[in-house]
Amino acid sequence: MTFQVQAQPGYLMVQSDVAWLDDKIVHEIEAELKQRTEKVPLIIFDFQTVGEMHPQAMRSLARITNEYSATETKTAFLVNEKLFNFISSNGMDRILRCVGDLKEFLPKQSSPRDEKSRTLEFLNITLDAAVHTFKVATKTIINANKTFVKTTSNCPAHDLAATVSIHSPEYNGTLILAFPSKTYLPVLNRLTGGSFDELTPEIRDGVAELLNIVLGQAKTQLNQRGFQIQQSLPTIIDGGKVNPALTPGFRSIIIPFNCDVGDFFIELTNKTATPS
Amino acid sequence: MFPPDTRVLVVDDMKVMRTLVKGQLRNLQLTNIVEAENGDEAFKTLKSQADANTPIGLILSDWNMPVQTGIDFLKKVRNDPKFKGLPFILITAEGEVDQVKQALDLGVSSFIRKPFAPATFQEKLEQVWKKQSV
Repeated sequence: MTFQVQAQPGYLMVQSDVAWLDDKIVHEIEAELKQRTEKVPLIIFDFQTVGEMHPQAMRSLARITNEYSATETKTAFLVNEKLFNFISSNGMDRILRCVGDLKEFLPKQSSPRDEKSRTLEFLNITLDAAVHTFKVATKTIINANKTFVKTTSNCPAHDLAATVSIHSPEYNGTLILAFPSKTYLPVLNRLTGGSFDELTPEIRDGVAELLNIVLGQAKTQLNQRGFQIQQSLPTIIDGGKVNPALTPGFRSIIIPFNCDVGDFFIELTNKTATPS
Repeated sequence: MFPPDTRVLVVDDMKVMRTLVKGQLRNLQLTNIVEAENGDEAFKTLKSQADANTPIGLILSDWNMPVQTGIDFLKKVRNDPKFKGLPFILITAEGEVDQVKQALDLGVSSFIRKPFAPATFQEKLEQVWKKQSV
């Protein structure tokens, strides 16, 4: 990933983890931001894991910051100590507003989110994370189809799944990523550069790794929004047409995806206020 | 870039991920690869390779692993005078401020954030090598 721009409620997040942030990348970021038509009050540049920054890149970022300030869009830079020292030693810390913690910038949550908005927020962020993960890790463009609430009769068929428990003061549940083998094998081959043609023990943990990456991506965003999510290690479910059972007091939402090599789905199970 | 004879320790509980990282390393002509499934096993491997006079020259470790996490492994590596300066790259799907800070404080050489493209992988290794050879 050179960089990615993600729309979050109330702000845009620009993330990059390049070793060397040069002016060319900053211009690419600027071009991507200009294509965004939505007006946002805040743009956050997350450069925490950027190694070094070219002085010209820093000057371009200062120019972009000035241009945005004229349109009343604020910018903030989430940087590591090394970058902060570099920026401040160049006297640019007055222009580039650097922060060590995103929480001081994000809108405060005035009241606890209700169950529906929590689930929706979780779903949307997880969906974005899945699209990004498949695009970067497997060079696969995936499309989400209409979500539905799982019942005993409408769970899509799959051969291999990974499940991970999610714990937070506001949110408890399980996230499942499930594939039929005809989709899983080509996806795995793209991930590893291999040429596997059957579901062997050697490649079964790839589903857990993909889930781990999706949740890891989503978790960062969710925790910036106050979810305080803790995740456990994923567990693999395989053998036959696995169909994780419905648990009383929990509701499962299925997000079916399709891509050029077939279908798969993500299932989000969370505790409901009233058993469904 | 790291010389082709560099012995690389790849630590991940997921076999698929180790395969992926090994493939990326091979693309960079780094074929001298040792594997471990968690931090505990990795530290033992690190010591045994040093004792056998075939020292590890680069560690690529996952963060989230059972038995011993990547961060605990990093702590052990940095607390051992023999391995204090060893290049150590954490591969992680997470990017939370507190975690990044913790790893930086413990002396991680760099991060690779999952998912990653081959160019990012190469770039990070080159950056660490450059730092190492100064």
